[in-house]
Amino acid sequence: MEEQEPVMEEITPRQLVERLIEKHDRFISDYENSVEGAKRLHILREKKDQLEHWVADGGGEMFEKQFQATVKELADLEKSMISTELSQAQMTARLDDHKGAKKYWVKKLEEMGQ
Amino acid sequence: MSDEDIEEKIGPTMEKIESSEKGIFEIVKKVRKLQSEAKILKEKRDRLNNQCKTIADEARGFREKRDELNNQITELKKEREVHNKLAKEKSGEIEGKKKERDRLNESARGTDKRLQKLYEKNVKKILEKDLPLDDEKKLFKSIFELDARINDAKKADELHTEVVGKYNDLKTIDTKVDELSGKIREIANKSEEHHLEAVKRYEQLDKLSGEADEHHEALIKKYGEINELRKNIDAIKEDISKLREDIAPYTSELESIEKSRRELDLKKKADEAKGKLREGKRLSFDDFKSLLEGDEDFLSDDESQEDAAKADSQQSA
Repeated sequence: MEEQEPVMEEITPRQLVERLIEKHDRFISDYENSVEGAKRLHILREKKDQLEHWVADGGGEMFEKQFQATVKELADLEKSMISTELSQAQMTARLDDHKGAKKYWVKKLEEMGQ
Repeated sequence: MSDEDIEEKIGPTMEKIESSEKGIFEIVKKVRKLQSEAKILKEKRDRLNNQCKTIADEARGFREKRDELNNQITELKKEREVHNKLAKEKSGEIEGKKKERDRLNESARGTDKRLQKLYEKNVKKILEKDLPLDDEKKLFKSIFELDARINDAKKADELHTEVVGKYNDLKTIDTKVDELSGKIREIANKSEEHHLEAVKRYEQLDKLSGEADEHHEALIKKYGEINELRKNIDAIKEDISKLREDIAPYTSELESIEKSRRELDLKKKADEAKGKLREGKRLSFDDFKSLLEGDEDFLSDDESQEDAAKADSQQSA
């Protein structure tokens, strides 16, 4: 017997709109976090460069530890952010787009009624 | 009037009677000949009529069998008509479903599998990707268009399955129709054979009944001729009867003369026999007969009784 591929369950327009709103909520949250993260990212990158320079000059064990902690914090932050390529302004613009889109789909859902 | 005078008087009439009697004899011979010919004609006619009856019975048998087969054909044709009607209905249904299937295929523009993949890809894209609102709107529209197309493609597939099923039904009906047509052809051939046999016999019947009619007509003609001849005989007999009536007084007298003459002759012979008897001569049988017929007193008086006894004893000796 031929093996059948799993077929995606049919989705209604209302369900799709609801899930789109959920998606935009998710993106809004991620972009909000990322906008905040972007400020910290700039600071951590500068801190890392400075500490890297000091460690290279033989600044001692204390700089070395701080450098390692900064690298880890930076990596964790980058991991948590939606994008590390976009600027804060660009991410803010995206955040606004998602808010606008959510508004559109909410209105659409209202138009659909119950 | 002497017997010569009488004979002279009735001679021409007697000749006429004789001539007429000869005529009757000739006519009777002709009648016999005609009766013989009529008998032969009658036998031939009756034989032909008997043959006709046999052939007519055979023809009727073939015709009845042909009609029976034709009735079977009518019934089978009715049955075939029912199946043909059913086949027509099925064909109509198939055409309708095919049109609807083609319309849905045209609307779907793809197989449901391909469309389903595209649908899933677009749903995944719209729900997972970070897209501008315009792209989402386009994808949203596209997803539900695809959904409609998938439904059309699925309906088209269902209709196609139904069409295939109906084609199978149609094939079964066509097979039945072919089977019935085969039976009809087979019975029609038999019916034609019986029809031709019946026609052949009716042709024979026409020919033989024509011959029988000819013989019958000839027979009637012969009977007519015989009747005419019989009428002639009756007319001649009537003429003879009239002629005999005309000469009846003469013939009566002639008979009387002949009777007297015969009596005299007998008397004479009896007297001679008596003389022989008295003389004691031997009597012949004729003498004895003459005594019995020509001597009225031979057996009545004593003398005669005595003579008779003598004659009897002589006769016995």
